[in-house]
Amino acid sequence: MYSKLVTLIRLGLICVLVVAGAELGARADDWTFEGVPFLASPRESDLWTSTNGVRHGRPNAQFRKKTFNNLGLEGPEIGAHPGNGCVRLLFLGGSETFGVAQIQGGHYPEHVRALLSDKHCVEVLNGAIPGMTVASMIAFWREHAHLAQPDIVFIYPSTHFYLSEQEPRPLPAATEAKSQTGAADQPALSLSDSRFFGRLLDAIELPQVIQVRRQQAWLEAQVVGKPAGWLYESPPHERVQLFVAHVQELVREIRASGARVVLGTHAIRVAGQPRAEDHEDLFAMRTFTPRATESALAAFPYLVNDALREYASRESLPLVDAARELSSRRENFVDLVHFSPVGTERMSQLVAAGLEKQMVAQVQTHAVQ
Amino acid sequence: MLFNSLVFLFLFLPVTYCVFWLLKTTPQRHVWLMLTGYVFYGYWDPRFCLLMAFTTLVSYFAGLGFLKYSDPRARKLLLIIPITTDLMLLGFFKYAGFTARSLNDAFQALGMPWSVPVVDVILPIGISFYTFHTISYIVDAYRRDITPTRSFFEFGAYVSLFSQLVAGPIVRFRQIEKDLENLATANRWALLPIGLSFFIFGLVEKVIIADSLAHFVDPWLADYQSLSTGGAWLAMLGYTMQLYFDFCGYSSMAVGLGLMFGLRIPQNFNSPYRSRDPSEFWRRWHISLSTCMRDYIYKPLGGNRDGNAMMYRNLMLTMLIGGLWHGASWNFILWGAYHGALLVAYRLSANAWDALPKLVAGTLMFVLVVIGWVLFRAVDLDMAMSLYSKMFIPTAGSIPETAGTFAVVIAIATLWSTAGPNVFEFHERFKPTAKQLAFTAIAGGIALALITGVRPSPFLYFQF
Repeated sequence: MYSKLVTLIRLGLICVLVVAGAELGARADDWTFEGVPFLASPRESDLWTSTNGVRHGRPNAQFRKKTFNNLGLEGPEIGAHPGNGCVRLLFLGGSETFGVAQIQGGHYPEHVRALLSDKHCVEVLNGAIPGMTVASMIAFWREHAHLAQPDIVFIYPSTHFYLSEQEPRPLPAATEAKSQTGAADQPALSLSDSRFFGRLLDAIELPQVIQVRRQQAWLEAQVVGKPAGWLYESPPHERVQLFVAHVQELVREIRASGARVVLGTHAIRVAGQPRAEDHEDLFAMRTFTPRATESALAAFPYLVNDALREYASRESLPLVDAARELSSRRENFVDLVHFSPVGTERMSQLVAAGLEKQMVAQVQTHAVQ
Repeated sequence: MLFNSLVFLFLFLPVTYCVFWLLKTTPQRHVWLMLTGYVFYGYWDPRFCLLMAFTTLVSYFAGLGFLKYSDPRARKLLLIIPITTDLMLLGFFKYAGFTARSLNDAFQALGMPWSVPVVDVILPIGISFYTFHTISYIVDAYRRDITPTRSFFEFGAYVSLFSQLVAGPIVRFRQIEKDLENLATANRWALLPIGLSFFIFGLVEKVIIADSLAHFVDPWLADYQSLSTGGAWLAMLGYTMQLYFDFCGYSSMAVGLGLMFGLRIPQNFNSPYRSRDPSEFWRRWHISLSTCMRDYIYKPLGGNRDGNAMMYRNLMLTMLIGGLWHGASWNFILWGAYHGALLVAYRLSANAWDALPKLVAGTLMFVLVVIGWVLFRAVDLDMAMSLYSKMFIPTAGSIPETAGTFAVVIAIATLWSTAGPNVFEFHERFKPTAKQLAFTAIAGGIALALITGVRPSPFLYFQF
C-alpha cells in the first residue's frame, strides 16, 4: 500500500515537472521567436479596446506576431501626416485581411506593401478586424480609423456575415464583436494564461467524424421553432441590397474625408453552383451562418460581387476584382475565404496592380500641394 | 503520423505499449507489432500497406525456400528473384520519373527526336528503408549468416516495426533476431526508463534543436538568391546542424521506442561531426546505411581485395549508389560522387592527412561535409551552383535581421554536436536517478510545448 502511494506521488511529481517544463518551453519559444515578454500572459483580447462603444486595436498592443502601432493599427508608427512624398494606405476588412495566425505565408497587405515599396514611398496600415462587417466598418471609420488620415483606403468586404440571423447594422462594433465572438470578460487569472495549455487547446482537434456530427446536430437545433421561410434556401436579395447600401455609405464617408477609395470584390473557394468538393467548406461556414443553406452561402457572394461591379462602374470607383481572378480555384484558399500562400501571393499582386494608378495619382496630388 | 505528433504520443504509442505488455506470449506480441506497424504505416496512406505486404510475403517465402533447398542453383534463384522484385518496385516508384526525364533531357541535348513518357508516381514513404530490410534478410539468409524464420508474424513484425519503418535505422534481421525471439521474457520495467530517456533525448534533438534551426534555415534558403557570402555560409552551417539533429533525433527516438518494446536497435549516429577524415565520417554518420553499403555493395564488388585501382572504383560505385539511394535526382548522385571522391582522396593521402593536427583535420573535415550538404539541400543543380558561387566568391547581399539569433543557435548546436555527449554516450552509465528523471521530465515538457506550437516540421529523412 505504502509503495503504491510512493509510486503515485512520484508519478504526480513527474507530471508536475512535465507541465512545468512545457510552460517554460512555451514561454521561451514565444520570447525567442515572437518577442513576447517571458512573464507576460498575453491574450488575444489584449489587442482590442473600444472608444464610444466602437471596437478597435489597442495602441501599441502585441499578441503573438501581431503588433499594433500608436493608433492601434497594424503598421509603422504614424504621425499626423505621412512623410514627404509618401502615401498612406489603409486596409479595411475582416479576418481575410487581418491574417490568421495558423496559416503560413503571411497575409496579403504585407505582401502588397513589399510590392508597392519597390516603386513608391508607402505607409501601409492594416485596420482589418476579424469578424468586421461592412456595417461595423462604418462605425469603425467614423470613430477611429479616420484618425489615421489615410490617402487611400482599400476595402475588402466579407460577404457571408450578411446571411446571419440579424441584419448587420452600423452599430458600435463592440456590440457586434461580442455577439459574434461571444467573448465574456476574462477572469483575472485563468488556465488560458498558461501558454502551454493555450497551445494544447489549439492543437487538439476532435476527429472529423465527431465534429461533423456535432455540427449537424447543432444546425438542426437552430432551425427548430423558426418560422417558415426563415432558412435562406437561395440568396436573399434584400441582404444583397443592404450590403451594397452599406458599402455606398462607407465609401461616401471615406471620400468625404478626402481619401481615395479602392474597392475589392470578395473571393471565395467555392463555385456559385457548389461542386462536390465544396461541401466541406460550406458546411463548416454554416456554423457562423446557420440561417443559410449551402447553396445560398455559395451563391450569395457572387450576387453581391455582381452588384459591387455595377456600383463601382456607375460611380467610377476603382475596383480590384479579386473574385473574378481567384474565386472557385481551390489552391488559392485554405478554407472558404482565407488565402493560402499561393492565394496570398496572387491577391497581393492583384491589389498592388489595382492600387498602382491611385498611388501615382496621390503622389502627384502631394507634389502639387 | 510523426513521432513528434500528439496523435502518436497520446494515442498510438500508449495503446500499442499497453496492449503489447498485456499480451503474454512471443507470437502474440509479434502479431501485435506487425498489426500496429501497418496501422502506423497506413496512417500516411493505406495503399502503401499493400506494397509493403507484398514485399514482406515475397521475402518471407524466399526465406522458407532457403530453409528447404540446399541446391546452389535453387538458392541462387531464391536470392535473385526477390531481390529483383524489390529493386524493380523501388525502381518504379522512386526512379522511373527521374530516369525518363533524364533520358528526355539527354535526347534533347543530342538533338534526337525521341522521348520517353514520364510517369509521375507517388513515392511510398519509407520504401527505401523497408526494401533494404528485406534485401538484407534475403542476402543474409543466402549467405547462411542467419536462419530464416518460419514465423510469418515474426518476419512481418521485423519488416513493419513502426519504430524504424519510415526513416531507419536500417536494422538487419540478425541484429534483433534474438530480441524478437525473446519478447515474452523481456524485462518491461528495466527497459521502460531507458527507452523513455532515449526517446525524450531524441525528441529534444528533433523538436528543440532541429526545428528551431529550421525556423531560420528554410526562409533563408527559400530566398537564397539574395544571400551574401556570409549569409550563404550561415545558412549552410544551420542546415548542417539541422540535418544532423533531425535525423539523429529520429534515430534516438527509434532506439528508445525499440527498447520500450524489448528490442535493441543499433546506434545510427556516433557524433559524426567529430570526424577527422572521410573514412571516420562514414563510420559515424548513418552507420546502419554505411555498414549495409559496405556489406552488400562494396564487399561484393571486391572491396579492397583486388588492388588500389579496383578499391577506388568500388568506393566510387558504392558511394554513387548510396547517393542515388537518397533520392532520384542528379544532386544526390553528385553528392554521392563527392563523398566517393573524398574517400578516394583520403586513401591516396592518408599519411599526410592523418599527420595533420587534430583540430585542423577536424575543421577541414567539417568544412568538407558542409560543402557536400549544399548538394543535399539544394532543390536542383542551379540552386546548388548558385550557393557554391556565393560561398566561394565574395558576394554582397542581404543578411536577414534574424542573423544574430540564428548564429547563437548554430553555435549551441555545433558545440553540442562536437563536444557534447551523443545519446549513447549520455546513456552509457544510465541509472534512473531522481535527478535524471526530473531532467528528463522537464526536457520532455519543453519538447511537448514546442510540438504543440505553430512551427511544425516533418522529419527530413522521410523524403528518402
